[in-house]
Amino acid sequence: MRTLSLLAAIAALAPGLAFAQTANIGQGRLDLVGQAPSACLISQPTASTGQNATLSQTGAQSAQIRISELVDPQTAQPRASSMNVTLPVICNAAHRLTVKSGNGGLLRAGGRRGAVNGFRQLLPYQVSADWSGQSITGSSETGTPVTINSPNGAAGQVSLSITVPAGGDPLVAGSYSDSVVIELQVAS
Amino acid sequence: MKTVLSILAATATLLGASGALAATDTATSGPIPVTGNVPTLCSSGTVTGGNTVFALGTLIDTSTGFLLPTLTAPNKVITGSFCNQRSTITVSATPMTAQSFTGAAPAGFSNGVNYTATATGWTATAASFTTNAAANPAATQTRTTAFTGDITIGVSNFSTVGGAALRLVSDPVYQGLVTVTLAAAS
Amino acid sequence: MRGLASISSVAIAMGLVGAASAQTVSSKTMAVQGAAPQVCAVQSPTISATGALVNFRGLNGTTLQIDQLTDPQTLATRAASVNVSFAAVCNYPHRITVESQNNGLWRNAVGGTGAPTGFADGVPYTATLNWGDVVQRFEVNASSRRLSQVSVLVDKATAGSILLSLNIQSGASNLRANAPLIAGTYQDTLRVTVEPQ
Repeated sequence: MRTLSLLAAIAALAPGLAFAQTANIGQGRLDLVGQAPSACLISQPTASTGQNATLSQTGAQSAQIRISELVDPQTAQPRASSMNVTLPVICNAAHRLTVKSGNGGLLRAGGRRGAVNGFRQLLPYQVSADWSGQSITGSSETGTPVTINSPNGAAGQVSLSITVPAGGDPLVAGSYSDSVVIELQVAS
Repeated sequence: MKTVLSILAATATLLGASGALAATDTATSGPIPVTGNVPTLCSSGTVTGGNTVFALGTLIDTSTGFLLPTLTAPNKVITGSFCNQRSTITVSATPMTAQSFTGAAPAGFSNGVNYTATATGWTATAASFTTNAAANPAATQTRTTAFTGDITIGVSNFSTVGGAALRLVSDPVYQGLVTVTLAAAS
Repeated sequence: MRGLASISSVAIAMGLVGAASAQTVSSKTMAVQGAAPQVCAVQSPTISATGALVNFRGLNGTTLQIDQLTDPQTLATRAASVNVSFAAVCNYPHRITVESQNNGLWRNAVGGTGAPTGFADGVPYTATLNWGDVVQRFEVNASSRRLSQVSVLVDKATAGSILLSLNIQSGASNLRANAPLIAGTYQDTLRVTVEPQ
């Protein structure tokens, strides 16, 4: 009977205490697990340099570029202007940076895209972005002038430039605007 | 006993012989009492099989360290015991204690096992001794007549010294001693 | 007649010759023996002192899940702490060892590449051990991914609970304080063993 009870004790040992190989050794185990989810963070611009343009922060995630003199007052032709913005970005997984233009260019308020008697109502511009070792330039007319894919996480500064070229057909008088959305999205 | 009687007998014969060599009258001496004495004797016999150790084996549950509730050992029989007059049988026992372990047992542990030892067969009521009892009134039992017979010794009722919440310290040998004594009673 | 008288007096003078060693008491002594072999046993873990549980979801079997490892505003580590206890016993002088499989919470790297510049991929923590009279601090420092351990001699039989107090500091990382963590599942396995010295 004594022998039987000893065997029973060993059998009970196995399932509950799977890591003890002999009676004089005992072991416990703890598995620690945590998830760092994929995410991107964009912070407010840390620097901006503008020519014929200024940048003002309008909210935590929004800013406004104001072009000082959009056109030559004599010819109504567009004047050159540019704005370069540096944005701190952290993405801890593979991700994509896109810059989108809402209107495809600076669009006259109340106007349509088509030119009127040689006067334009839409002024496209160039968007370029430098990020994660890539430099992409595109026209606002494409809707998504910049797409940068990064296969790894990256932390640093996105250098974003908006350049309005001088010259070309004159513009109809009015208020011109566009909205630019810079988006960072982690790959799923 | 025998020697004494024979000397007296020889002397008496000598007297008789001397008488026959003398004159015609018959002379006698005596009566001479012939007596012998039987002393009291108790003998506690021998343990059957010659093995005087109650071997309990492993005392503890090896997954918890607590005293097993199922401890038993086969009884031992002492044969050939006798007392030629009224006698008492006394059982005494010492707790099983760890033989190699030194010092006080650490918190949560004990180095001893209590138990009950009983002796049956000599008296109507068994003699028993419990090592952790405040008193053991049943330890000594009296038999009013001379007797010879088997005495069965058993050990049972094991418990941890200090309480069941304590575990035993590891030791290869825990040992207690059971002593059975037969004594002539007046 | 003279001869007769002398012989009879000699006869009467003879007395009793005593019998040798009459036993009035006789004893038998028998030993009662048993063995208590060396035993160490450790039960399943439980969370103790739930008041000390910070940023941990709880224990599921042997798995301790951190609720929110990173701060969504900074992607850096959030503080977390928990006390875990294992009911245990060793009935002989022994050794207790706490081993960390990864030396920190490490990301399961696909392809085994390191983290990009500016990111941490390992989270250090401390595990403080309490067992009987033993108190031992274990710095799981995530300096490199490897096995690490602390081991202490315990000079007496001990019964009770092995307590592991785990503490992850806010911003803990294997790069610099408050570095963002590269995305992924971060894991470590702790094994606590009681065994012969």
